[in-house]
Amino acid sequence: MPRNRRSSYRRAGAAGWRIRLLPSLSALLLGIALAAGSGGFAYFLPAIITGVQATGQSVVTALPSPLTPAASPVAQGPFTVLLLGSDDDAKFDPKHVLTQSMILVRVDPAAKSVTMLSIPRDLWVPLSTGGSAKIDGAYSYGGAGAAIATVQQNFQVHIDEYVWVGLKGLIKLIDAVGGVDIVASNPVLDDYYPNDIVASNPYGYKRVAVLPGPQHLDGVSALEYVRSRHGDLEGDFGRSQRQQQVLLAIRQKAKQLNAADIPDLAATFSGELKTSMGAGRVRDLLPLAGSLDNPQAIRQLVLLSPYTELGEIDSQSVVVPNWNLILPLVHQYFP
Amino acid sequence: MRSRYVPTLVLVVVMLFTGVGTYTYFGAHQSVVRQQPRAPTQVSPRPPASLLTGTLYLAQAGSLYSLTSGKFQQLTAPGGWMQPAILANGSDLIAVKREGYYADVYRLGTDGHVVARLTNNVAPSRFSDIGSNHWSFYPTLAPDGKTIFMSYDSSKAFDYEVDLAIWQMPLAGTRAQWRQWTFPNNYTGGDVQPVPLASGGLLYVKYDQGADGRKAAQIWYKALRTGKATALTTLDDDCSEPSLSPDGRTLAMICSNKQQVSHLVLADFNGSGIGPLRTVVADRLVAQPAWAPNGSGIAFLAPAQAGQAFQLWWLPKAGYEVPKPAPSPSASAAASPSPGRKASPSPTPKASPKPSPSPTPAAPIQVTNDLGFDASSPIAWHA
Repeated sequence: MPRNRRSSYRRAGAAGWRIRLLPSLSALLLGIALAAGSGGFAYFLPAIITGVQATGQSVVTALPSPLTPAASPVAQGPFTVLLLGSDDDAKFDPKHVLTQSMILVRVDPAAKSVTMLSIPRDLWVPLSTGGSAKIDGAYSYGGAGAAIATVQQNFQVHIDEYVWVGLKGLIKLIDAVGGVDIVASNPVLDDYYPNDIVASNPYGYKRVAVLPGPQHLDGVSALEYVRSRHGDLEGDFGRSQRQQQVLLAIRQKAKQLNAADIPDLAATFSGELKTSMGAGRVRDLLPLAGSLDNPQAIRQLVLLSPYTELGEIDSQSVVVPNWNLILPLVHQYFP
Repeated sequence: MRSRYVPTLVLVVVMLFTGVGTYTYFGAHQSVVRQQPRAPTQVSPRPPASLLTGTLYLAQAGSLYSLTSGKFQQLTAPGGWMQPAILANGSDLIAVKREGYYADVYRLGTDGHVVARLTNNVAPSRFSDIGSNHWSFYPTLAPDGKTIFMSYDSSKAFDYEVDLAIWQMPLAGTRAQWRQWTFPNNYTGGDVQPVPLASGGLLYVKYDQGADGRKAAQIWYKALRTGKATALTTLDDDCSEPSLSPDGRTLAMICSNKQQVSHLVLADFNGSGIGPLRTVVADRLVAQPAWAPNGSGIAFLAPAQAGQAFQLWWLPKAGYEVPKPAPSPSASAAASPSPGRKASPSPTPKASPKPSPSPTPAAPIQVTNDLGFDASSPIAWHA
């Protein structure tokens, strides 16, 4: 056989092998891709489930503009989020809980600044659902929609998103990120702290002592720090300041998380978190949290006197707003 | 026939490994922020631990540990143990055992065995009100070795008010011998972290409300003989956790300026007053400064990274010592007149002597890596 013919046979044979190998190779690559995708899907499944259940909550407020998940304003301009925290222990009907904590947060991604305004839970206001009451009742009467509408109409501010978290959700969140570091502003001592998280009798009390100074708190201790109010000279206002401290400490931790942490975090939130933000927007916010690292660009506002005064209405101890002072402040920081 | 199944089998195995591998890969790449601290006895501290002479006593997760010659030893089982202090002769420890509704002071051997329970803060069973229990925190031995100062919440005046005050009790004595030394501001949390002085004075931290309505810490000095008390720092400084150097001339403390930061700050101490505050560590969340008994440096607790658990750090003396100005022979010769010779101004301006470069202060050294010390618990240190 001539040499050039043998050579051409060899080339033809090699080409034939390649042609025969191609489907097998394609199948192998497709199989690997499918398997990798399945492994990734299985890993992120808890996050996907939580994403579907907890995020993207559609809320219709009593005001003309319904709050629904919209095109993300996060990447473009400043946005305002209403943070709601509730006692959701066994004492309450899960569908009608009060909001122990209401914090209005404005984030300006371009300026990398954050402004937090704590709204006193006992603030006496007209509710969006009708009548006047303490503002912590708005969520109880009409869910997130009523809480948002009440804040919007009284504070004359536009709210883009809301996040609601229950007590157990806060504990789980803080434990899931490995605890938070705070500088406790003073010894927080409370002889009548509600013993309603794990106790069989949710109406009981327990003694709490969070010692002062820098320390690392787990979820239960952090909740005690932000929830205690009996032994505080500043009452609910002191508690609002502590809540803002822990919120900033959580943000500090969020800066260090990565995508692989999301499933475990999501799994901790079953039923303890609701937000109008879609999963995509939550994902966008994680790097944003990391960019807000200048303490000077974080403004904390608490409506102490003269913005509010303590009073009594309908035999209830309430906080009476001075709207002539509050509204200019709100317009300045939440334009 | 058999050869047709082999590639399929290979594909299945490869897919299985790829799927599990992907899942495992993500799991292995979670951030370290969620890692739980390890027990001190499970790890070897970093080599700088050998710089710490003597024995340090620290608390982690309700247990007391000692650190001697770079090796940790667990002294007590987990059970609410915290805030150790050591007798001057090093024979015994005193420490707090914190339970759910109360905390008591105990005397322990240096191996952790209980010698005596010094307080009994459990409410008698006839009291149904949990507020009848009491807290004892921050026990510290007076230089006489026979007296303990501590923070204690005595009987409450009003239902919701729980404030700590500084009390004195004998190391061996009865409740009737206790004496209250300070009177806290109402609803502030009170007075904490006593440091009794050999001169008969007392340093402590008092919480108060500032002009801006926010609570903050102030270090006070009280002359126990006269009862006169003086604030050494301002509410805006927000300083706490005082620790006096072995020679009694420098006060270490942490200051937060009402922010979520805490700097290690030093000030000269003259027995009843302090000089200007000098920040020596500003980039860490510093807690519980403790002087080495031989004056070679200061140990403190701080997270290695923001938001993480507190580790042990060491600041050698070179990190805070004020460098003395280097002598400049030519400058001093020109400045100081010789005896019998009139100093006259120099007719021509001389080039000013070049300042000798000041040495760079030593940086704090991280001693432990993955532990999580109780930052609300002072460090005790014995030579």
